[in-house]
Amino acid sequence: MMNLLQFLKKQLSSIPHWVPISVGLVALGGFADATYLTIEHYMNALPPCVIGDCELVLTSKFSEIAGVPVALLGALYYLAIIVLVITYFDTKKEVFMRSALFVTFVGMLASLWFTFLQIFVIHAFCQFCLISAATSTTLFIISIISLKKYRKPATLL
Amino acid sequence: MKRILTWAGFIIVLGLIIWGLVVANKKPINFLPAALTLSTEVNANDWVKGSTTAPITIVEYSDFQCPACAAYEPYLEDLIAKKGSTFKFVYRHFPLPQHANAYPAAIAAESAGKQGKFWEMHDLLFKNQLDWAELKDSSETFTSYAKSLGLDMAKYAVDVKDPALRKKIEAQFKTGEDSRIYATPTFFLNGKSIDNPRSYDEFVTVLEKAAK
Repeated sequence: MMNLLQFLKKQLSSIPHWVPISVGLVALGGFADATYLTIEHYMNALPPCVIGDCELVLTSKFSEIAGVPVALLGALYYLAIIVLVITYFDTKKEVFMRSALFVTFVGMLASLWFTFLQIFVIHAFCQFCLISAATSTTLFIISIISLKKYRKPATLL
Repeated sequence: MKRILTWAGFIIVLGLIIWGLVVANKKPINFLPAALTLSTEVNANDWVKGSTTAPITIVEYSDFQCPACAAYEPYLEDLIAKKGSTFKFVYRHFPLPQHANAYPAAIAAESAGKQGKFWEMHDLLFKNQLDWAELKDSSETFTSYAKSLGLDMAKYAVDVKDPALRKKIEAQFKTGEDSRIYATPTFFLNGKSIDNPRSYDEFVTVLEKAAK
């Protein structure tokens, strides 16, 4: 655990303000999107079937993992990022911001998987799922840029 | 102090977002901007249940492969069993293009209807939807349902190929399009579309209001 903390500490020099602010805002957007789908899942159970095919995605067997809707997992993922960003603002400890940046890798992998399922397995799209894929990808891109740009020269050794 | 403000602000913002979304969900996103008007009156081609003389008519546009339609089925069955004397229930086909087995299912139901067992097939199709919805070829499954209903299988085999049944389903689909619906299930109460009731009790309320 200590090693991980040291590793995270080493990765970045000081982070400019736009990074946590943009990560926080994009994550907030993702959180609203995923929360909407989660509420929809529990309140309505089933969306009506519209010409177009989002209900195929939202009712597919991939929409839940062991009974937990993936929308809820998505909401928790975005919430974790927001909490890390605010903790960073609160404590000024960069380890929290770095953690937030690394956590976005998880979201990116999950989004790749779910977009793959929509294209190749379910053969249908749901717009709210694609919005989430877009916010995850945006977070990932911000992370990659920040981690590359604001890396301490020392870590290159 | 600043600390408390930061976190309090955070919790308030999240709370507002969740509250807003719950409210947005309670008034379901209305797929139908205003009440639509049923384009085609109930006629001799329709499948009718409940009272044929009651002044209240509910027309459902439905798709046998639509998960939401299957979810509504038990409410409607209950409603017809308990309140069937007060309203007329009409089922119309609206097989959505993305549901590959919805059209063959409608054909199977119509074929069973030729032998007086439309509603029996309708019930079987909805109850077992998960068994056939994803099949590449659903015809064997539908044939087995026909057998279990005791249909004359030679006649059934001819009827599923009858172009007249296709025409009938396509004509009903068109009446849905003419009424400008694009989602299933869509319910019309006395010719005007209604927001989908979300429970058995909400259906009862709809009927009671209409009876006044």
